[in-house]
Amino acid sequence: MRNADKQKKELIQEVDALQRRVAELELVESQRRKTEEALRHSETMFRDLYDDAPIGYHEIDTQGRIKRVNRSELAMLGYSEEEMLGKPVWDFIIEKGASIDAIAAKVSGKKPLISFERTFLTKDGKPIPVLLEDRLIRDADRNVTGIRTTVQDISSRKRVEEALRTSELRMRSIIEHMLEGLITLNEDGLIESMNPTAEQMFGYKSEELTNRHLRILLSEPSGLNDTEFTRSVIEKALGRVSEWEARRRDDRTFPIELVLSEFHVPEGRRFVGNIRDVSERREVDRLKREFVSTVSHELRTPLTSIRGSLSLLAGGALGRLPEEAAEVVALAERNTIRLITLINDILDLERLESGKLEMHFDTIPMETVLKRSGEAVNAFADQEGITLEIPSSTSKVYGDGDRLVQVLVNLLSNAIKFSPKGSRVSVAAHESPAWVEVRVTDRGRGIPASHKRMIFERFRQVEAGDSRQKGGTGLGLAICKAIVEQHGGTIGVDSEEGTGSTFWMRIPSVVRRRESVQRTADDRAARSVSPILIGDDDPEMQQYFELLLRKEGHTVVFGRSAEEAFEILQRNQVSLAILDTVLLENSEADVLEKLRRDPKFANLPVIMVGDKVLLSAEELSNNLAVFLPKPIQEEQLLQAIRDGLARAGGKDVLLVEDDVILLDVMERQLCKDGITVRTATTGKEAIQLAHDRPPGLLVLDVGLPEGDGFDVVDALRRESHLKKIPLLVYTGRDLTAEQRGQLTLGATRFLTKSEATDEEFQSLVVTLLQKSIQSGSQA
Amino acid sequence: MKVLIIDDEEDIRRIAYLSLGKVGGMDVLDADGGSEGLRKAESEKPDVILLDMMMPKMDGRATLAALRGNPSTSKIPVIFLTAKAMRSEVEQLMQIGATGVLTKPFDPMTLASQVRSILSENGH
Repeated sequence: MRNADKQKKELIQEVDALQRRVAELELVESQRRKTEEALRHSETMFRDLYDDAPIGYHEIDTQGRIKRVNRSELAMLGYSEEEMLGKPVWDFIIEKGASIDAIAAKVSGKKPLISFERTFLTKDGKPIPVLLEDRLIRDADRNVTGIRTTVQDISSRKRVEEALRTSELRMRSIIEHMLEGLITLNEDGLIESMNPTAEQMFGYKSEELTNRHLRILLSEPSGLNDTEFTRSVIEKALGRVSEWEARRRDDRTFPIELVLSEFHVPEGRRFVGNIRDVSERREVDRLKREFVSTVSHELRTPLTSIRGSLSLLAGGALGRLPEEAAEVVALAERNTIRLITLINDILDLERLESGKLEMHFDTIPMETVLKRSGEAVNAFADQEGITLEIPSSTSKVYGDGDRLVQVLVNLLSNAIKFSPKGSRVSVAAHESPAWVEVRVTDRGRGIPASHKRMIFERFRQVEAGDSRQKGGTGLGLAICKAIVEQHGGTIGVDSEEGTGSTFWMRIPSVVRRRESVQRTADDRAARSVSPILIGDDDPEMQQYFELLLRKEGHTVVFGRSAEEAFEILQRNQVSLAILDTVLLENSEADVLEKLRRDPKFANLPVIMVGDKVLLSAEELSNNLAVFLPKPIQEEQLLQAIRDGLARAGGKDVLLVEDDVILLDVMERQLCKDGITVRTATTGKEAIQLAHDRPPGLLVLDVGLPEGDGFDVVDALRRESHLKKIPLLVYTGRDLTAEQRGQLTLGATRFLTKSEATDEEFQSLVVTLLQKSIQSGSQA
Repeated sequence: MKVLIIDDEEDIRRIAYLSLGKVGGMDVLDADGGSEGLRKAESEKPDVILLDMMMPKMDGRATLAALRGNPSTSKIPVIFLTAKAMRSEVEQLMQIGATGVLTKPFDPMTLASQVRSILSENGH
């Protein structure tokens, strides 16, 4: 029993064990099946990926024979798998392939992929540009057994590239065949490229100018360094037409118009410059002016006969005419005279614009101008029933009396013409330190704001038909403007439509005259002082400055706004500027910078006054400016002015010329450019003035009384602080080389009077003076 | 008063003739150019010569020089009639010996009186 039990127990255990074993085996089997299934799945997945990837894929052996190729590649090329397998891959590629060894040599651990652009040929003979990426296949021993390659169809990329190339080609061809010159510049003003038109214009090949500074093409006398020069060109030409004197390779100069536009490339800001040679247009302008002048003269001859005949008839010299005949003859005479007036106006304007109208400047009492003008229009005013109110004046201006009368008569006639019968036309004259202003006020219908500027243009009147109705030529105001501008003045109109207009002109009252060769030193000092500009909009401050500075013997001009201050600086020679920070809405730094960028004002002493310091000491000193806080300490201000003037002093030009008329012309020309000028008419005087204060530049005539040019140079050479003064010998004589040698100081140039143009003289003076200022040679 | 007008334009001569003769009551002689003018000046001894500036062949300047160079005509006052009236040109003409300058187109009704006043200003 015990035995049977034991056997039964053992059997049960055995069955249990077997059952566990079976279960275990079943588990193993099921896991194996699962794994197999997973493997199969994964293989299908990879095969699908391999075959249907959006990219061609093949493998070759070391002989270049295709071992595997995916469906995408087959589809791309249009072959079946059988047609490709076992074939050398080169059979399908147009270009010659690299050998496997060569590829193996190029592949490194760091760069396991190597790519080529190739062209595959489809079964139907179509080339497909592709990008191939090769990766080496190695066996367990690291031996190379073949190459695995991905094949990417790059037709669309190629098409885009081709389109870009075509478009670039088209652009290039447009640029190359443009009539305008084109250059590209980098931010530093260095030339990057130019088109053939520009090459031709300047006589350089593009590659000769690559990385050269733009200034090689421009003939600008300027003391600016490259950076400043670039900045000034950009400022002047960016987005607008600017005029320059350009310089060819052969040094010939010609006028151009330049417009810069800006673009950006990854390397930074670039500029493209459009250049137009305007020599021809200038020439056409000149011919046109000449033509106008000739035609006008030619017209006068027949008009003389016509006018003469009509006047004789109308005047009854040939017997009394029947009433109707007298009427039409008077009509013809009136219109002939109008035609003559028109021709005279056109001629005047042409002469004014070409600078041929002579001006005879002198100090003239405004009273005379007012009186003469009044007399000239009195009869006309009576006839029109207008009362004229003309004041007396004690002011004096420096100008051409006849021309000023011409302007005022014109303004008065207009005022009378456009005033209602029975009304008044009044004149007022005011004097400020800088200007004498004359205002002519009418009670006419006024001028619409939009016309205010326009009416000073030629043939412009407020309404078409005015001219016929009122008998004007339409040139009067244009002539007035030109005359006033030749005086360094301004003309304008204040008007409200319906209530009347006030035409005004301002003529500088700064008297710069030369009466005799014999002048005392004091006279000269007083005359050569240019006014101080007060930029302040507060009338009290203006008065304060005026009183204080006049007491000190300075003359002052006022800029009542930043714009006006700039305008005055542009037009007048100013010795020093005092600027109230209140006036400068923009930050002072901008205004100062703007000022300093202009070579004309590079050395203008500037004193800023204001409530608080807005500029750092460094900015101030960089810009040669002094800041004085308000309230202003009188002595501090005067000291600052003395310092400023002393610093600016010495950078002037000493003109030595015994022909006072020529001297006056030269002085005027230089003053216009803001250059301070002292003058001497004898050798002795020149030496004395140079001793008093060494000039920045000496302009010397050779033939002089009381010591000629040679004596002057000899005397200055003896003094160490004077022998380096830059010298411009400006003479009518032909000098021998030996004589030239004797006439040498610092930087010395020679200019022959009859040969040099005004512009050449001017630009040479500016260049020499700039050099002098930079080198500090006047110190 | 005897006046000689030298001008190459026949119409102008005619107007001047009417203007100086009819209106001004002068005896008027005329010449169509410098050389004829010189001959008439020498033979007729006019009291004043009105001389055109721009003439072909011999212009006003040359005619004046010739008149001044001949002792028998050198003292005759010469007034220029010119369409070019820039001040410097007027001054130049005065410098080379003109007695006065009148501009074209002139007013025929006052031409004679203008001539007379120039002469009287110059003490003729």
